[in-house]
Amino acid sequence: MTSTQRNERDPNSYHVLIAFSQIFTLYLVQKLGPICYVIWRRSMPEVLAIVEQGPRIITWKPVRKISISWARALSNSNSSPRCPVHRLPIEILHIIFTFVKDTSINLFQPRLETKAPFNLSHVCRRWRDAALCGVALWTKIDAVNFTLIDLFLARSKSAPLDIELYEFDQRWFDAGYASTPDEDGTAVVEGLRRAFFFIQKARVQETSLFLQPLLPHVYRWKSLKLPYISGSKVRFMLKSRAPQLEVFHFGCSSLWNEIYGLGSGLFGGYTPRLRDVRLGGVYVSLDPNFACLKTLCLRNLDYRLVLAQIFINTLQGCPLLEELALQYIQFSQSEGEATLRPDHPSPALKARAAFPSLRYLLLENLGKLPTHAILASIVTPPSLHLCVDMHRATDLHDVFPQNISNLPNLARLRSLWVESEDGWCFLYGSSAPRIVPPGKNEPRLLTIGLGGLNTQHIPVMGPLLRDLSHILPMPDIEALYINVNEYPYSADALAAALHNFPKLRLLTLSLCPPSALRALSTSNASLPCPLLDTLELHSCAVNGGSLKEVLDSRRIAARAEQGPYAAPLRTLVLSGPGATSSALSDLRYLGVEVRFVPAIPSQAPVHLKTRLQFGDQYQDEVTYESDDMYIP
Amino acid sequence: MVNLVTSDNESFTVEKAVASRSVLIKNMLEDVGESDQPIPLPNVTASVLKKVLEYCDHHKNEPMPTSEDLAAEDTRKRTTDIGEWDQKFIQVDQEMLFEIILAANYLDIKPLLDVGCKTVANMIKGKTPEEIRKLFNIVNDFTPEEEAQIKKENEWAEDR
Repeated sequence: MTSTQRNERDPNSYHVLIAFSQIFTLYLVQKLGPICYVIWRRSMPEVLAIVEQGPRIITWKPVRKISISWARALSNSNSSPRCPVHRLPIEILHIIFTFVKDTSINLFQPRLETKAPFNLSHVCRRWRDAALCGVALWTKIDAVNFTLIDLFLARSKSAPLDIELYEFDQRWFDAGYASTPDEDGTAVVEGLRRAFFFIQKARVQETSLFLQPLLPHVYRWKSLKLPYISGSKVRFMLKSRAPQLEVFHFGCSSLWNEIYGLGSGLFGGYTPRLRDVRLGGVYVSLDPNFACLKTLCLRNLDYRLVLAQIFINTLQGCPLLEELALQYIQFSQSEGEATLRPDHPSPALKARAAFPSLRYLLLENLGKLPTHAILASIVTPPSLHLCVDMHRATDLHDVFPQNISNLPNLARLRSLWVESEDGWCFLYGSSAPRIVPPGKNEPRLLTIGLGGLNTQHIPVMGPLLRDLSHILPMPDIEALYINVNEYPYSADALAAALHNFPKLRLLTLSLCPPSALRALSTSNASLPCPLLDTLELHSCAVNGGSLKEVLDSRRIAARAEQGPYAAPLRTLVLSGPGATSSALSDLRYLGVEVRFVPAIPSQAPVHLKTRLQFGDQYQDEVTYESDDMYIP
Repeated sequence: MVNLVTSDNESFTVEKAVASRSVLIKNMLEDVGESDQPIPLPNVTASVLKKVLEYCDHHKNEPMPTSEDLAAEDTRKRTTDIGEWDQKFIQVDQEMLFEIILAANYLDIKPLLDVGCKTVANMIKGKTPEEIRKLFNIVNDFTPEEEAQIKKENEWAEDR
């Protein structure tokens, strides 16, 4: 019916034809239902072709089948209340897709991670449009998708690129991944094998080959992370200007122990937006390129010809620094201690380097004198989190300068957490006047790690606390947690250390022997920690007799002291195997509130907590909040 | 106090600090000044606004994200971690989840929008297209030509 009209190619008749075909389509909508959608979705020549086929389309089953499913899809997916996700506008889909993409690499499912852009764009037409019209899903080039570089480069259009290549490193196994269950709770072996396969596959390619197709796009690089590079060819490739580069991580693996320089021509000397640099085993000259740095991490470097103080002075060229980490760096020690000690600085090194924005400073395994020199030659803000890691046991007073007025964060310490285990001793300090466990995501002011200790034979807690009392403002500490799994346990050392905490209100002792309680008793007419209000004992196996002795002694001493400078103990918290009812029986009439908890309060809910009032409030009938009690 | 009127004509009287978590309402209050006039919210129903206000009330004492924070967020890698309270808050059926996201977008409550989007992202992560379709009741509406193209892309991704 329409072929004749179409062959005449008369514009007027063509318009008539269009109108007629639309009317005919409407007729099909009414008569044939979903099949009309096929026609609606086609271009005009296609419509004409279909209409020309006339009745055949109705009996042509494959077409009809596709059409109906398609029609159903359209009617269901785009407007049906059965699919509420389609109410989200495209810009919100973009936000969701970006969250999906930005999830960190799952070592055990590298393929799924890589396929996220594909998975999202293969769901339905609407999601595909959203995925392809936005560039966010296609800007990350990594070791797993590097063979699809061309596709990703095309789909990311001109957007800034995030490039990273993680080579396989034995330490991933050493770090305990092999014993970590994956998200599905299934054995990790298969996931690990797959991860290993993909990363190994990426390693077959030279890093330089990985970067080669990306070099023409260097103006788009936003981040370049090559943290474990085994070859040195790459350093010659990074000569072009990188105006958008913000993050640059580059390092050779310490396993290969290569150390070389990246030279002064790095990125043509033009990286105006660079703010995050992490280098391992490679040198760069800290020229004006680095003026806007906010994060600088240097690791595995040999600066034996440079004094630590001079190095710090050069960092003043980065006044915006917020994070500075110096790890395993050897500085010069050849000029003798007198030159390095800031207490006797040479005229050239007198001025201290100020870092007004510094929030985090890590000094790891730099050696005693360089660490001392750095701590003495910088001025930092009061909110700084200072982290000092010494892998070899050392006296802290050799590390910290005598005058710490340049480190005002230390004056803000109000609580300390001290623990030692397996030859390591850790100390965490916070401004909160309560115990802040290390795992808690709360701001910290101080972390100290000391390694190489033989805690089985030499007590470390006493000397550590003694050293700290020479360094830190112990008079202001209000909460102290001590967990020292060592033998022999020196109660005398603890007693001596506690005298340095005159404002202590909360003391938590974990895993200490009953004899350690002697440290809290009155000795030589002096009361250790006279303001102590709460004592927590976790797994200390204390008995009622020794507890009663301590509480009695402190109560009498507090009465004798009088005034605001002494207070009797008011709260006793017991937990773990040592917390038994036998510990309780002798505590009656002492006016102390006793609580039982299943673990240390900060880490476990106190659902077993009960309150027993003694002394004047003593009650024969005790109401328990739980049946599962330590008390019979 | 601020009086908010929903699309289904229900009225909510809330503290100014709570209502001001919404940048939209905050700007309206600043423009209008002190007034007893109710603020109409034609795009939000009562059940959704109740949920949104619960969120705003819980977070009313937190600092509002500044433009610097938002700019820094763009440069930082985003995580899909959600706070403990927020996780419990957002445990709702899909319909309500998407309504909350839409309301957060309309009312300009960026932290709530992020919580909603992160929740959806967490639901999607690691799933195949078919699993995503099943999850959200989405129907595959690709044309045969598009299906062919997708198949080709899948082959690329599988082979590499």
